[in-house]
This record gives sequence, structure tokens and C-alpha cells, in this order.
Amino acid sequence: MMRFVIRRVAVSVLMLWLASVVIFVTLRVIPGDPIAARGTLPGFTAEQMAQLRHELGLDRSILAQYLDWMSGVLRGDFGQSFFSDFSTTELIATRIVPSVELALMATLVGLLIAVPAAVAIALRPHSWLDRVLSSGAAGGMAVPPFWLGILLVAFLSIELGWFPTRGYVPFVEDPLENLRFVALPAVTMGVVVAAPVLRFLRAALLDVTRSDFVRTAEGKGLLWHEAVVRHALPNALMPTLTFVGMVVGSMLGGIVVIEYVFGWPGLGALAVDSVGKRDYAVLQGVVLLAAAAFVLTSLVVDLLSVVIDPRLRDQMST
Amino acid sequence: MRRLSVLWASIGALALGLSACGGGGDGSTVEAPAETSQSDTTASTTLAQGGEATIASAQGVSQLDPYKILFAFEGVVHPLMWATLTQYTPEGGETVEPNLATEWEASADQKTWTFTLRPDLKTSTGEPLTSDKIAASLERAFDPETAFLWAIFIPKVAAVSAPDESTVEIKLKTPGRYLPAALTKISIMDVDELGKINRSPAVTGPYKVAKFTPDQSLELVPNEHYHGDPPKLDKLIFTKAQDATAAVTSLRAGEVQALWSVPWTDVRELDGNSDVAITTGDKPAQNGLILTDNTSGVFKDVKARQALAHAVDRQSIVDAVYAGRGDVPTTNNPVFQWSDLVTDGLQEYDFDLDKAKELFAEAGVTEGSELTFWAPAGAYPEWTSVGELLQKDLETIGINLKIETNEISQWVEPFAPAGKKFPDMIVPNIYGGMPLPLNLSSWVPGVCECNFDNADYNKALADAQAATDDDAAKAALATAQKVFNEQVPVALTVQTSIPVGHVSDLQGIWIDPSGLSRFDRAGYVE
Repeated sequence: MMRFVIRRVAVSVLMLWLASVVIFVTLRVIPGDPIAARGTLPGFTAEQMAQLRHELGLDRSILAQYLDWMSGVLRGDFGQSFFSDFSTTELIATRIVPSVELALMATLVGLLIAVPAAVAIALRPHSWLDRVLSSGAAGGMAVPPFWLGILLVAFLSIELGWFPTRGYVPFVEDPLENLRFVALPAVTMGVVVAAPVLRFLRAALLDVTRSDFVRTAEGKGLLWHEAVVRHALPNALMPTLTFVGMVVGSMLGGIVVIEYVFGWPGLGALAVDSVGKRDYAVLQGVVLLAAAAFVLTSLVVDLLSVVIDPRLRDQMST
Repeated sequence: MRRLSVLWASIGALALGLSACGGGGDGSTVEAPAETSQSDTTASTTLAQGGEATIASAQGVSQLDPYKILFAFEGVVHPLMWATLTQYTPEGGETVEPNLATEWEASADQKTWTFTLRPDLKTSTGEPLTSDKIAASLERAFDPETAFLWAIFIPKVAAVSAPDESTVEIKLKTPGRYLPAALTKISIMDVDELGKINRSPAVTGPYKVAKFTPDQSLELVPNEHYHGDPPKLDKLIFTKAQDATAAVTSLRAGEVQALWSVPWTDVRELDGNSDVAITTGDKPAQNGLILTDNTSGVFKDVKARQALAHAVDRQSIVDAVYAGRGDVPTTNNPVFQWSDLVTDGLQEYDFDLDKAKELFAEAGVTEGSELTFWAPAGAYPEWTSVGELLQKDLETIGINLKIETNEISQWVEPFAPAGKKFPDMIVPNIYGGMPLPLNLSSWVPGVCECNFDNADYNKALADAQAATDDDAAKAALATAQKVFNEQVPVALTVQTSIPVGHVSDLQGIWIDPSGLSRFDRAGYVE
């Protein structure tokens, strides 16, 4: 067990290091830099730009810049914004809470949609209900999140006035207002999460319900829905947990769009702003954080699977 | 100057604010203009004291240092926090009026300017804003290492001093008739407090900072130590709306009270909404234009540049792209048509494709030639629309205009800073942010990316700065306009201002002679 954990953690650290290299080099290779923006200022000369690049160390080799940045990262210093002078850590700190809240709420909404729907399908596989819900899942995967978001805003905010169109209030300031603000983005993102999870869980449940132990449970007198909920569902949730981890870990890309539509002050918006300005330190910090979130989520899910699934524990011990 | 990471693009100058010695009052009034459209700018409305307003913008506020301004929206927000020696007011129009300085005078050679300060000035912390501090602030603004956005428009400064506690003296290396107008753009700060500028700045303007999160939100509350009348609103919140179209929805829903830089595609629709007003001012103060490199490729030939001016269908551009809210330049004169400084009798560049074809042919641009329209992606979509109109018109005379859009940092790269060669490219842009006639310095060497360098033009501007009377200054500026119109360093497309959408009962928003939207007089109708 311990060997598995150590190996899994080592792989995670290696992945994070590789991600840091890719992030750093990619940003330096694409055209433009933080100083390029000043090129449009009246009277700003090429010499002044070169001087600023020198002051920021942007004229050094990529390797030297990387080593400098990485040594800071290892000390917990992710650098500071070229524009606001705020540290990357501070900027991320102001954005991470809204982002995490949105991710958690969206996951919750997604699971609240996907799990009951998958169970309903498993109770009546290949019925009209199955066809309707499966089609809904396919639609959920196909629909662009921004379109769904705009649709929800048009109906629930503009027409009915139930929810605000945009904005954010911290939970600690006003919990009820916070929930009003998070509702629409969470539902929008939740649908995006629910669709693939529903398809995955449906397949897993239908597979498990054909297993001998489910038939045995039914033969021992359990009703079909009891067999499905008590025996098939826990077994089907095991692989689904890994899948949910991957979906949540890769949520950042979708969240950017949602943040734009709903004016949500999260990490995605910070990342997009930083891309536009080529605010290297901030963008590197955000992307590294996103990579870390993905890697850590995968790690936690893998470790949880071992804890939850006795078969995996047996495999480890043998 | 709007959306995502849009830069000031290139910021030139604008409308003339003749900068004679200031008179007038203290610039603070109870009345504010109810300036909701180009045609409704004269009515006055009494505004109530109190209330909050949230103002959205697709651009955020990255930082609060007035001398590090980089994005247009910062230019809109900073005057709320930072006072200047001189100022424009809604009542004064293009006249430069007192602010921190009560009066000023120039030496006969226009090189030494003496400003008398208002007594008992304080920063928002309650600390005295002394003449020494004001001089230090100006020195920082003029220091080339500061790379202050507007410094290029200010005559070269030899020295700044504070001879006594109520006087600041600026000595120039060359005559500077329009220095008071330029000083309307130079915020005064306490340089000793520079280290705290993005956390808890000691400001000098009508509002002080309550809370600031870069590129997210900025909350301002009245500065009780401000020397003028207190602002109307109890709180102003500037919030970044990542997507301008989504922000329009919030404006319609009344969840934000104003939106700076409403997408032009939404302006016409909002015009029909009784709950929302659009303010662009009745005096357009920014020049929409297309840049060409005057030193390379086909546009090195003045005939090609004149041909381009004839090929631009300005009326269609204003009607189709700018929702009819803009002036249609009939000549290629960057001095706005409403200005007293505008020169009559200039050659007109009417939309005439036959003439354009003839001039293009003389410059070697014949049928089958290809030019490139180089526009930013994700920002200023109206510029791409201008390119599409031009593309259609050039096609009828056999010239292929290839439209290329690039992410903003890549868009800037081929033509900025000034001095780069970009042959056969047509680059849309907007120049604004400085009052007339200082904006004419947008086309001197090293400033305009068009690389225009004309000795007659440069001399005319220098003569205007050195002029000792209005007539001589006007004559020199007339020469500059004539040269500009003949040489077509850039081709004008429209003269307009950035539209501000706001709920109808939020009034007092005005556009200053430099083309910036101003919220310092904003308040709710009683």
C-alpha cells in the first residue's frame, strides 16, 4: 500500500514538473510579451522597450528565466504581476475561492442530476425513460455552455427576475445572496458535468446489474430497486468516481466561458486577462495551479479508490 | 480601448482646449449636465446627494498609479482619484479651468509658467499637499524613465520647482503655449506614498479608494479632504465585466448602473430602450482612422494615401458601424469639425472610387493588387466591420483587400512602436485622449506608427506652441491642418467618442474635450 502511495505521489510530482516546463516554454514561444502592450503608447520607443525587457529579465535565456522562476516557486514565491505589482499568490487568493465554490457547486448539481437519472435508467433499462434521459445526456454534451448560460440568463434573470444576471458576493458576507449569484453558473456548469457522468454511470450500472451478485440479491428476496440501489450502485460508483475526478479536474476550460457569461471573478477570467496582457508570472501561476488541481484530484481519486474498494486493497497486499 | 486586453491602441490628441490663463470658478457646481445623447447635451438636471452606482467595463483597472496608465479605462477611472493643476469642466467646455492651481501665467517667451496653488490642500490621508510635493509629482511625470503615457505631448521640461508654499514653477526647454491644457492630463500624487499606491493610496481627487482588487473591482468613496465640492455618490464601484455583451444584459436588467464602452453593435438597440441612455457627447473627440506606413510599400507615395482617403466610405461607416453616432469627416483633417480651430477651405476627400482608382494607379496600385487590412481579434469588432466595408469597395476597383485578424499582442507587433516598417498594410486604430490642439502632436516623428515626418507640419506645431497671441497660434495650426490634409499620414474613418450606457436616472456623466468619459459629476436625479 505504502509503495503504491509513494509511486503515485512521485508520478504526480513528475507530471507537475513537466507541466511547469510546458507552461513556461509555451508562453515564451508565442508572440508578444508584457512589454509589447506598451508599444502602442505614444512616443514609446524600441529602446525604452528593450530597457524594460532588460529590467524584467526578459532578455535572458529561457532556461535562466525558468530556473529563476522555479527557484521562487519552490520557496512559495510565484512572482508578481507586471501590471499591478500584486503578487501572483495574492491575485490567485482573491480568485480561488469563487472558482472552487463554483466547481464544487457545479459538481454537486451535476451529481444530483446524473446519479438519480442513471439509477432511474437502471431500474428500467431500454425503456422510454432510458431513451429520453440518454438523449438528454447527449444533448447536454453537445450544447455549448455559453449558449446554455445565456439561455438561462434570458429566461430566469431577464424574464422572470429570479436570479441576478452577473456578479458575485462572498459567502461569508451574505450566504443567501451568494447562493443566488452562484445558482445559474452552477446549474449551467452542472449540466456540462452531468451529461458525461450520466452516460458513464448508466453504462457502469447496466453492466453491474447483469452481475451474478445482483441476481443473487434479487433471488434472496430483495426488490429490484433495492438490489440496484444497495448493491449495483455502490459498485458502479467506483469507476465513476475516477471519471468524475477527471471531469472536475479538467473543468477549468469550461469554467472560463461560464465566468465570462456570468461575470464570475474566478481563476479562469484571471487566466484569460493574463494571456491577453502576457502577464507571465500570473498566467504561469494560474496554469500551474490548474495542473496541480488536476494532478491532485487524480491522485486523491486513485487513493480513495484503494481505500474504498476491498478488491484493490487485496491486489495491493498480494 | 475596450474589451479584454485592449490597449490604448495609439493615443493621440483631440479637441482644442485653448489654454489661456485660467479664470472661472472652482469648477464645482450643484448642477450637472444631463448629457444623454448627441442631441441632448444642454439640459441641466438637479442631482441628489447619495446613492451608489456600479459601473461595468470589459476592461479592468490593473493598477492605480496615474503615471503608469496603460489601458483606456484607467484613464477614465484615475481622474476620480487624482486631481490635476488645471482641468476641464462640463460648464467650461474647451476652456482650461483652475483645479489645484487657482491661476497661472506664462513668461513672454512661453517657457516659464508659474502656477498659484489653492491654499490648504490635503491628500485623502489628511496630510498637507504642499507645493514641494506637487513639484515632485510633476517631476516624476516628466521623468523619461517613468514612461508616462502623456509625456510626449508635453513640451520638454527643463525644471520644476516650488519657489514658495503657494507656487509651482515649470520651466520649459521650448515654448509651450498649451502647457495648461496638457496639465489637465497630469494627475498630482504624493510621491512619498508611492509604495502604497495599489493598496491604500493617498489620493487628491474627489473619491478615495475603499477597496481594490486588480482587474476585478475598485470601490471608491468620497474623499473628505478633497478641495472641491463633495461628489454626489456615496459609492462608485467599478467592476470588470469579462464579456461586454453579457454586461449589456446586466445594464438592461439594472444590475449595473453604467457600462463604459458599450459595444457599437448594441448601441442602436439600447437607443430604443427607455430605461437606458447612451452618452457619447455632442462633440466627438476621438479620431477613428486607418494607419499606413508612410515610409515603405505603396503608401510611401502620397497618391496612394490620398486614394485610400477617397476609397473610405465614411458615411456608410458612421451609419452602419457606429450607429449613426459620429461626425463624417469630409476632409482628412483631424481637428474636429465643431472646433474653433478648424480650418476652412481644405481639399475634400469625398467617397469617390473612380478618383481612388486613378490615384492608386498613379501610385502603382493597379487592378489585381493586394493589400492587407490588419485588425485585432476579440477587440474592437467595429474595426473589422470597417475593413469589410473597405474590402467591398476596393473590390469594385479591382484591388483585393485581405482582412487578417490577430490576437491583440500579435496585432501590435508589426507596426508598433513607431519606426517599424509595415508595407502595404492598412491598420485600423483610434487616436484620442488629448485635447486639441495637443492631439496634433500624435503625428510627429516617433509618435505615430504611420511614421509621418513632415518638416512643414512639425514646424507649424512648434510655431503654434511659441505663438504669443491667438491669431498667430491659429494661423500656425491652420498650416498644420493643411499639410496634414494634403499628405494624408492616416485616413480618417469617423470622429466619435466611446459610448457610455447608463440607467436613465444616473446623470452627470460627461465627455471631456480629450474624449474621456467622466463620472466625477455622476449622481441620481432627484
